[in-house]
Amino acid sequence: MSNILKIDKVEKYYGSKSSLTKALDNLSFEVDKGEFVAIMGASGSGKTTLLNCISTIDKVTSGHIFVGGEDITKLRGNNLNKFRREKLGFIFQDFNLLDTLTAYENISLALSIQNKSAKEIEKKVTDVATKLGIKDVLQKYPYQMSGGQKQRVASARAIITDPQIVLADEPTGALDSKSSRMLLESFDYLNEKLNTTILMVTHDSFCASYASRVIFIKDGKVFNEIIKGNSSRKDFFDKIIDVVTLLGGEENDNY
Amino acid sequence: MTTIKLSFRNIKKSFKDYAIYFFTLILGVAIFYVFNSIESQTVLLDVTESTYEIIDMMTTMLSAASIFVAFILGFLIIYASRFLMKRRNKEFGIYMLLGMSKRKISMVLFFETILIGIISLVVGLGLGVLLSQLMSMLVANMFEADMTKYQFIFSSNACIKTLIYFGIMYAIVMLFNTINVGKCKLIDLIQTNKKSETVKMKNPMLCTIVFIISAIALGYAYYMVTGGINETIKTPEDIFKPIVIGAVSTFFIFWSLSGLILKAVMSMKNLYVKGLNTFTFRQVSSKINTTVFSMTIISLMLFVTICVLSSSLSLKNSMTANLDELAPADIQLEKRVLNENWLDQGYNEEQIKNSKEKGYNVDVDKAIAIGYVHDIGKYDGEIHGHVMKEYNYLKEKGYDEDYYNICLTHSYLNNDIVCTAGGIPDINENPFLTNFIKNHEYTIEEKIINLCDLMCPPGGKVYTIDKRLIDLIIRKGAYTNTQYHVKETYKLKDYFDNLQRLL
Repeated sequence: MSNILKIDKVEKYYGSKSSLTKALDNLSFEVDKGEFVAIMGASGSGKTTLLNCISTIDKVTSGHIFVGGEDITKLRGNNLNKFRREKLGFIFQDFNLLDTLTAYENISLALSIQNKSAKEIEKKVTDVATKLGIKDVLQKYPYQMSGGQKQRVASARAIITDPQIVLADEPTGALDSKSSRMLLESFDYLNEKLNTTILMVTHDSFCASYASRVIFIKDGKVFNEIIKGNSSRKDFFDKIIDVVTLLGGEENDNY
Repeated sequence: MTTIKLSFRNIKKSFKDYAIYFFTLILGVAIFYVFNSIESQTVLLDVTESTYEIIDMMTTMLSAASIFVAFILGFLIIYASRFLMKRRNKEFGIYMLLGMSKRKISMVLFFETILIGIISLVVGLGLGVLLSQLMSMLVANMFEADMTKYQFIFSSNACIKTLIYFGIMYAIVMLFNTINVGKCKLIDLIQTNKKSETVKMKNPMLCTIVFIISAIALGYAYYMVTGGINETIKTPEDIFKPIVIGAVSTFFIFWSLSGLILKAVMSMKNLYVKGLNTFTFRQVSSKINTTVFSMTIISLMLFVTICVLSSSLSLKNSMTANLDELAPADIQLEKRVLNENWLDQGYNEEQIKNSKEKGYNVDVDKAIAIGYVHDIGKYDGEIHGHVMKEYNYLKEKGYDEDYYNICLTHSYLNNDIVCTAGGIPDINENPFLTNFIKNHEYTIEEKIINLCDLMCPPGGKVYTIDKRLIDLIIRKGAYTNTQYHVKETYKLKDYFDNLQRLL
């Protein structure tokens, strides 16, 4: 299969007997290698739950998820760890860097867990840091960095292991507009020049416009899908806004 | 970034955050060492054997107490480390998401625990050694031991005990941590901050019923050990009944307390909606709810502490009072009848001292002194007329009248110059002496010397009165006044015997 990611009829319930919530309702879609896909939806639409399931933070109630041909819903124990180590990169909204380590060590941790040699680690880290423009903050601790720098360090950590797919959960959520733009441009760079497959969840149309494809989710189901194609980013942005208006504009479901 | 380096970094950060935890650990180690090292400190003290027995008992009790303390400390440390682990949930989530196996995370925690253990043991033992020196000084002072032989002592026995005990405790902590890490689901770790507390509210009706029942049970348990102690506690095993009832009912009181408070307050509607009261009461109830177990343990521990403290104080008081009653005198002597070998060295001095303790106004030192000089007239061996000779001698030397009076009074009883041993004196030979003896009011010191003279033959021995009287007869002969003298002697003896009995 040329697709890196395949979501196959996934359903997710959570809660207790007294309050059951259906987060994902028979969801299916695919992502090809080298694609930059954005998943958009309002709050409560289930997009974070979807990302959690793909990254194995959470388990699906039924259905399958295939990453690089492997059914990750069946992974357990060491295989699961291996998957997380080698095939996956995750970027959180609130960075989730380790406070006790410097930027360099945060990034290298991902490689240390793979038991790579120190020389190799150094080479890779400086390489990525230069590409993302964070070389000068490598020796600083997270509390000494700005939000934008932290997010870029987190991104470096996510991609340094050459994962098959990078998942980003509202990466610009905690950043100001300038830092957001810088981060999204870095994502662009990663996707175009380094051919990284990125799946980004966002509720911000501006962010989504950087992607090459946007999937809209409403109430746990795929609502719409639009492809950038050859249009410019501005035009794509307008197209997205139109769909969002449709999503939010109508009061009832049957329009 | 090796596992060890990661642990090291975490500890470095922990120092500032968990200062109290470290402080508790260090203190615990120090106290444990001090309690156990008392034994080797005190073994070098120079005390009497009976005091040594007491010290021995004290060290045994302290060792037992240290085990109890260590047990409590163990619980504290396990609880504290679990609490601290909970705070680091998100960190563990990141490790897991980066693909670290749970085993590797356990290794990180393992090294952290070892580092904490080593640091706390080293610092704690150092502190403990210092404190134990102070403690030994305190003990020495308490038992009035000889402090000149003081030297710096390090008890390797206590050191090993501390290391073993705390090693076990850290191993248990490690075990708990590993189990906890293994149990966690990644989603819980990542979303730790977002999830709100599940509040389990209890049925108020049930709470009221349980509270009333537990309160009655607790009251009964207290009654069992105070007012009704004679009816309920018949055998030593019976004491466990009120203990168990008390503990269980305490637990249920706390369990039902929050529900009860809430029900009571909510029925007072006006109070409930006033200001922040709603928030306050809910917060308090929620706190009580979640900490039922710890509150029970704390109140039971406080109870044990207060009981132990007060009972030990009252025990000490009753023991000292008992001792005072059983041994009122500093020195006690026994007279064994029909035992001619009754030899109590320095009987004279001892008896004199004893009379003093009975409250009679005996000048002990004076009595001893006049005892020494009373026959000073015999210094040149001439016995005849030695009485006047020594009287004049001491008078000329400028001594107090007590000292030269004794020279005259020591040989004559009953204010009668005839009442003496060794023959009937001529009352006209020395009118001064006759009148002096007739009119002189004998002090108790003089009477003692009289008595002593009638118990001590020449040669520094001590006889019974009977034997001494026979000795006098053998050496000086029996005369017509001998019977009179003997009778007066026994009267004097009775006088002193009664003195003792009166008190």
